[in-house]
Amino acid sequence: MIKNVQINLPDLTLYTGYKAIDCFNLEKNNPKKASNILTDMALLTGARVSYQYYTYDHKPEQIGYTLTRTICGDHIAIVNDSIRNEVYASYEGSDCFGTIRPILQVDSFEETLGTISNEEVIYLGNYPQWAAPGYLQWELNQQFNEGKLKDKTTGEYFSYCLNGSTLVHQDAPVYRYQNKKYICVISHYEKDKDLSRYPLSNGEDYLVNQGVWVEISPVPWMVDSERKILISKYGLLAGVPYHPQLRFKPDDYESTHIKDFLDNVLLPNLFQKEEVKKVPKCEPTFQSDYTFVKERLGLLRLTHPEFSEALDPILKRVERMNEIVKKDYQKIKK
Amino acid sequence: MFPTSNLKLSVPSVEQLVSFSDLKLNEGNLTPLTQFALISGVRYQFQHGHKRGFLYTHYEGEGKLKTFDDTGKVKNIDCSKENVVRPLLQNVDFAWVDANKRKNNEGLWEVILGRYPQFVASIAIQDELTKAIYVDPYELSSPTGVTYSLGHCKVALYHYKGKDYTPIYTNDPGTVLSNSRTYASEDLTWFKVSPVAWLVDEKNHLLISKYGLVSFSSSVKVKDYELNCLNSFLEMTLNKELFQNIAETNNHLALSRKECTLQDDFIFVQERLNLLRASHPESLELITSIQERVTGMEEKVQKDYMPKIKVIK
Repeated sequence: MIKNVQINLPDLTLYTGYKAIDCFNLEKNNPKKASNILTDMALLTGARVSYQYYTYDHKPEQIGYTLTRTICGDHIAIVNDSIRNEVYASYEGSDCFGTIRPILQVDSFEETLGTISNEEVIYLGNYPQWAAPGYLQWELNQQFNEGKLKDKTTGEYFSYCLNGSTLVHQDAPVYRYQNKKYICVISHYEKDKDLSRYPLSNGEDYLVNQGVWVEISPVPWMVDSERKILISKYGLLAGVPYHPQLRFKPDDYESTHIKDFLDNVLLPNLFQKEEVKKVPKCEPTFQSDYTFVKERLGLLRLTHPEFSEALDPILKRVERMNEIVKKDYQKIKK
Repeated sequence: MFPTSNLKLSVPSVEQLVSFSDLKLNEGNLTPLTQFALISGVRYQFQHGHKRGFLYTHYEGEGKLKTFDDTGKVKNIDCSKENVVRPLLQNVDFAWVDANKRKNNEGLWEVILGRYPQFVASIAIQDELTKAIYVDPYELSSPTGVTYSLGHCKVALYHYKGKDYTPIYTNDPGTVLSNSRTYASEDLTWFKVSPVAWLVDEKNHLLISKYGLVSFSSSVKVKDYELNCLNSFLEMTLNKELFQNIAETNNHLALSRKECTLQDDFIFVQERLNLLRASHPESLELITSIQERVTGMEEKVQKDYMPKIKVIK
């Protein structure tokens, strides 16, 4: 469906100070939205956290360091993406705590994606992002140990760097369980550390060097319609070393290891099954929901005649709900 | 005239339950539960794929509490474990009941009286409320000072956009409620405060609640005092809480009845679809898509359509 996609790290200019907030036309009172929120996958692969806070519903959120492709002097510039979004740090090529928050450049932007405004979020490609809830972790581990997941692989793979080793990728197979897809990620290992400092989005701490199940979900991208690029809403992945090199020259980016990783590993990973999903603009009404439910129930009845006994009472109830609501709707309108 | 005073709550005795023969409450049927009862920690068992609880009952003249098990036998019960209270309502003016009763889906007479937190609000509304309570607590107000007790805590009633909700922290990780969200421990959950439906026993002029409403456990372990403990809970706490804003339900009886019917229908449809989904995994995707839309319908009904009820001070 989508052709000629290029993947890149963002430019430093895209992130400079408060410009980052302006150029995405994000909510100006809420600079948090422009900052690099880490997915669980990024945390597990060893992203360094610069700031942590709790959202209004008590979910922890971490903000991390963003890698850029800009080379200043002989160092790589990375953004210490705290809430104020203005601190910069230089980068030793072999460190791997920086987060990849990729940018997509799509050929013939408007033709493939239609006219879209900056406020919209587009879902493109799939990637492991958020850890499965605690009880599912336990279930999945048990299923895995009993060998029940063996024939439930989907043939897809996701790759990440294990413990920051330069060129070795861990290929994690995808398992299907209860109609959702999961991979098992071995968490990043650091010396003198047994337990993570930061909890995952499911509220649980994890042990280092331990398997954590992460769910594969569509990746949200923010739109910059002026520059005709998409930027990932979250920092997706860490643990990939930039290049084993101490000094850089301005043109070195194209030949670095990280560029190679983006092109040959991350991009194919993201689009193993090409799907474009756009967040719907108009919400379905009660009536449209009702017709959908009724149609689908009818379909079920056609394809599975043995269901009809169970389906009849359901249909009756659904019809009655519609009657009640319809009557009163007319009254309210009057 | 509407019955407003001298309402008496108690747990049904075994003899009374047997006399409810038309209602078939004692033939191996465990009690259907509200989600508030589930979240208050009730002990449950699966029956025909649904979660059902054990209700409190007793022999008249004998101080001990009993329960029916799933085969319909009477068993002794340990009050320190969480079983469900399915209260019996006495001293109701039956002329009023006869005028206002309606037949429900199972063909039983049903009447609506009092309000209590029973079912969980849909996800969209929960998110709105949670946001509201952190961002702008003044938008939410509890003008009546109404509270509901859950164990040893009291939860306040909040009024939001013309409807009543009460916030509860879950204590049971992995609980799945009707809005199909899975709750971790200590998640903030919002419950709708909705009208309570009662089944009518015409012979003995009694009302028994349609669902088990709340769990009860007593730390007092003195012999024969368990029934007294439970009765004092019913009289001092539940009676007040159920009927503290009884005038509202009275003034909007027709609306309340519709609210109850819609609520019942949604629960019924979701439960049946869940059963279908479990028994036929091959059509999982289709049924899941239907369920999502049903949830959507429920949300819209709750958000836009459901008639707004004014709080009377």
